[in-house]
Amino acid sequence: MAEVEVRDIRKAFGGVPAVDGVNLVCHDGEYLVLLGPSGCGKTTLLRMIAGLEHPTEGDILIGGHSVRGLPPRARKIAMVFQSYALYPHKTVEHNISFPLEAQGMTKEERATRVRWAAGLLGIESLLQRKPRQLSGGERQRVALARALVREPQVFLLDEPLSNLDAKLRASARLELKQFQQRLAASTIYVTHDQVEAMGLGDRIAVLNLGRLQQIGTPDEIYHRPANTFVATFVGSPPMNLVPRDGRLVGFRPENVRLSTDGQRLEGASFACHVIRIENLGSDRYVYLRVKGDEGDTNVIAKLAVAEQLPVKADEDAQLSVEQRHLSYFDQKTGGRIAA
Amino acid sequence: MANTTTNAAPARARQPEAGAVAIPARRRRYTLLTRHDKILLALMVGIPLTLDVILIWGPTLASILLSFTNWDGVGDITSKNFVGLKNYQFMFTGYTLFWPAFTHNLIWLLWLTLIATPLGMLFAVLLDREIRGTRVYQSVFYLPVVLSLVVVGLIWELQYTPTDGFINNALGLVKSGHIIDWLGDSRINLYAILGAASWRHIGYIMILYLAGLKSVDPSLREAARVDGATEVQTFFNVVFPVMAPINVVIVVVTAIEALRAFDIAFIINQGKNGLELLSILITNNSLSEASLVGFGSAIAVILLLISMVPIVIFLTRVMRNA
Repeated sequence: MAEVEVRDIRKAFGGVPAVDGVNLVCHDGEYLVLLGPSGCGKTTLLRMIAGLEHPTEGDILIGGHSVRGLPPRARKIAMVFQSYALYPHKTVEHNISFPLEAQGMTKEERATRVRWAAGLLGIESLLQRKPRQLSGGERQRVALARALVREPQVFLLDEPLSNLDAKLRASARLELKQFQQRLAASTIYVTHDQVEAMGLGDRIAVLNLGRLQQIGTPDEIYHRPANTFVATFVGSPPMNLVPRDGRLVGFRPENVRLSTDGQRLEGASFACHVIRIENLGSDRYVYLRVKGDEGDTNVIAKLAVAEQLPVKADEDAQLSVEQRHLSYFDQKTGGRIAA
Repeated sequence: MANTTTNAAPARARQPEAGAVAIPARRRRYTLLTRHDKILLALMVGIPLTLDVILIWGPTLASILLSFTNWDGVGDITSKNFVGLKNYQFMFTGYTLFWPAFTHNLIWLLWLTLIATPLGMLFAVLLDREIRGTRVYQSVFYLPVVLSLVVVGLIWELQYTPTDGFINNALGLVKSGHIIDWLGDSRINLYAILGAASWRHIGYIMILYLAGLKSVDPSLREAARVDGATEVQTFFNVVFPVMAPINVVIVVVTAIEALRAFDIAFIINQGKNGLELLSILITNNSLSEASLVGFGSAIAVILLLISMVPIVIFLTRVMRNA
């Protein structure tokens, strides 16, 4: 396993920057998630690490050595594509053994490695099938097995769960995490799904418009976002941002306390009006309009159904958030500032 | 006032009287097609089918029937014209030009299959790499394809002229006095013609294959690169197999081009002196002064049977995929 470092990497397509000066490190054995909306540059960054795209500027180091001029096969990486890219004319067995064949391994050695990888992923019974005869989850495991047999230094995964249905995605996510933990492999995972990112990553690198917004643990990203983009991109519903005293006050919907008796908590309080209440089974979303000197702001509160709801729709209320749950951002730059 | 509309159940159909045999009601066949659809469908399928039968299968069947006769194209065909298998017997055992023509067609097929078609595929693979000037190269290679084979033949006839032609002069053979009679020497003229035919064939195959290459999923090639395969390994292990449907088309097109070779050889020297081909024999026998329509038809039937082989392979593949 090895550490992957990206130094001031830039990539432009026809003068338009796709990746714009990103610096990050994936430590040895770490599961690093690249998270961001479509077009943010996360896949381009992954492809540059893989050697499928050439950076316009900057350097990429794997295991401390620059790999910028090296082709993919010399980088000791393995990649799982979004579409899995299984060779449709080859059986599962030949799909998995192809990388070993390309290396010039003997038939016996290839067979041993294939059996080992298939056993690890539980696909021994699928070896003679063709990809078109496999389900989405099975194809994903075959793609992982093909990556695994090369015994790479780094695994690169490009949204491998995006083609699976929601129910399968949850179990596949667990399998992926267990797979990575078993191998203690350095893994860089690209996704636009924050649930995947929060569930899988040891650390998350949030990107937007080709730039790194923040890198940190899921807890840091969620509770201490570095700017308003991270604050509103991560979390569903997103963090509420209310202008007050020339800055933006941010708080998560689940940290809101509502009252009609004027009770205030230590922290911030806002006079508000209840617009609507949605009952979603285990949670309740309360849509509020917060009145302010700089105009009204719509805010969402998320309360557990088990909690007693102190407000009704179309009623005035008091919204409070504890100090420790508050984040402050510069109104112009969106960057995080001190309390 | 209450609504007095009754909601009585609709009257029941009359039940047969006790003791009477119940005759089942006629079942109505339901169809998704309206009468207008059916008429339209009949016209859209019927007209091309009729034209196909009249213009292609009709003459084909006629040729097959004529191959058993000695009809000379004049007057009616009577039972006296029927000669059974004599035309075929003569063709295989007595007609001195048949086996040379058959061999030449075979050489044509081998040349296109082993040289011209692979070159076209190679150019397609190279141009698929999006090198600088790729569009210029594509145009250059494709330009001969827009020319008819007759024009190709005329162009190359000029190039192969012994003393004034470009080729002998470019090779310095005119100056050195070692002039090669490319089209007159029966030992080499077939290969000279094949060079001319390849000039056009390569561009044709290149464009077909390039279109196929563009449809290959790029992630498969990238996966092969990441898996450690070289470009050659990627092509033969991934790209080529994935393009199986295009490969079949290429093979069939090559076979058909080889079997129907006619224009260039005919325009050079009417298919004589080493340029005999089955298609030229058909023309020479059926349409010449000899008017051996029956015999010419027999050669045409042989050519048809040979042509059926690649066609059947292609259709089998298409039907299997369907």
